[in-house]
Amino acid sequence: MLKDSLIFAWKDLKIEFRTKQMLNLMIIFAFLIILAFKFSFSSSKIDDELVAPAILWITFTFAGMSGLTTSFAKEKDKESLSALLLCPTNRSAIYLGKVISNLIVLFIIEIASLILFAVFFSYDFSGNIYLLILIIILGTTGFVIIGTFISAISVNTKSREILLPILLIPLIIFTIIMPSITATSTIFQGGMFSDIFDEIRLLVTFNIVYFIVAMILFEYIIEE
Amino acid sequence: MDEKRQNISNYLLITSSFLILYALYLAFIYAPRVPDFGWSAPNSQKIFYFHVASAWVSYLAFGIVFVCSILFIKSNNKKWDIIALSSAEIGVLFCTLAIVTGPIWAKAEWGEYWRWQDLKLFMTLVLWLIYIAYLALRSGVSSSEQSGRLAAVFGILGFVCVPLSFAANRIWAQFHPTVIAADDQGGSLRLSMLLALIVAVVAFSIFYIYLLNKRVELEQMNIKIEELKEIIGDVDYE
Repeated sequence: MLKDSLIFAWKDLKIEFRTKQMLNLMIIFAFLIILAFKFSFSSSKIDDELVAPAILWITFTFAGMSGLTTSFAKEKDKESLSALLLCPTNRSAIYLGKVISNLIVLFIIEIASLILFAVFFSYDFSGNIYLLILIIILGTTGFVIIGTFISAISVNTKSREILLPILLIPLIIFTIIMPSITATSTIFQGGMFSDIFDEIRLLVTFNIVYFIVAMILFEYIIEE
Repeated sequence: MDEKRQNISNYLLITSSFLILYALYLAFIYAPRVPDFGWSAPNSQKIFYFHVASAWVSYLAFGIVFVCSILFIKSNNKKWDIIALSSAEIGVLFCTLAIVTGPIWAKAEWGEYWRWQDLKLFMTLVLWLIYIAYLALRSGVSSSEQSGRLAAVFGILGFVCVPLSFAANRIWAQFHPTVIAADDQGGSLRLSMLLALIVAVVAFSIFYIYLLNKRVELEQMNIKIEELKEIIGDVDYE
């Protein structure tokens, strides 16, 4: 099944990198979010360092969400979803494939926004950079696991662009985003692995739980 | 069959109306005021009985949504889907009541409307957000068959998310007043309060069953109308 889903992911990435349309737009969007925060905070007396972790994760979340909307929508609009469903494989392989391709796209966005973030918020990658990478990987994985699932739900609705955030935010805000922000701010202040061990444990648990639930339930939402 | 159902519905309405009146009497007249000691606004504590009852009914309603969602996914029986939808709507209504009455009391008692660290406030808020999203999802899907399945899946995922949110929020502390369990003074005092609370909770629960029954009936009528429309064909009524 993993092999099948890798094929699905490869297909998505190939389409994406042929035009790079979504990718470019998402990077511009992330850039604009960071700029918007920078300018709105520069006029107030709020210390950049205190809000920086939250801004980083809000940027990831919203840029990621704009990408997730199209994840299943393009299959639906081009009517290639039926073809995917006809593939002689487990239905959850389609989901897993989408998760993998969305993850890779989002990681690229995150690298780009992290660089922009470093420039605008004069963040010099202090603290443990490997821990930051670990938290970003864990947080993003959780985000994509639920996000892809919700994207498959919201694609069936009339107003999918607005419904995706409405469905997704209550599910991720406390479970994925909040521990990630806490851990990131601890890392920025020079925290070590033992300081963020709780958050890592939470994120790993949530990823596993959400992933299992999503894999079980996926076949019920993806019917023609 | 319909007549019997109508009778049950009437009994439920009458019972819950009387019980709610009785609960009002118990809360405002029978149950004593909380002592001035330890309470900054003893009078506003009276809202407690109805605040707890609404919160309890909303938890009950959301639990029923969860159970019915699983049953619907398993059996694909439309009946469960209708109950889930109806229960979710009533649950959001009562949850809103709890969320509105809570801050009114909190402003008087704590001096602020909302405490982010409070566990129960937090959990109720998460539930509220999820089930509003649930209802938004239901209204967003045109085909009723698909909306049922999608909503059921989201209902399950949402319910799974609640304990996880709960576990993730490590900053919580218990600010919520424990009126009944506090054992600093006079035992008999608490017993009468407990009675008022129990009556309020039972009254609201029966009222919930009444509303659920009515809402299910309404949805069944909707479905019947849709079926009839299909038989007649597309008629432009305007």
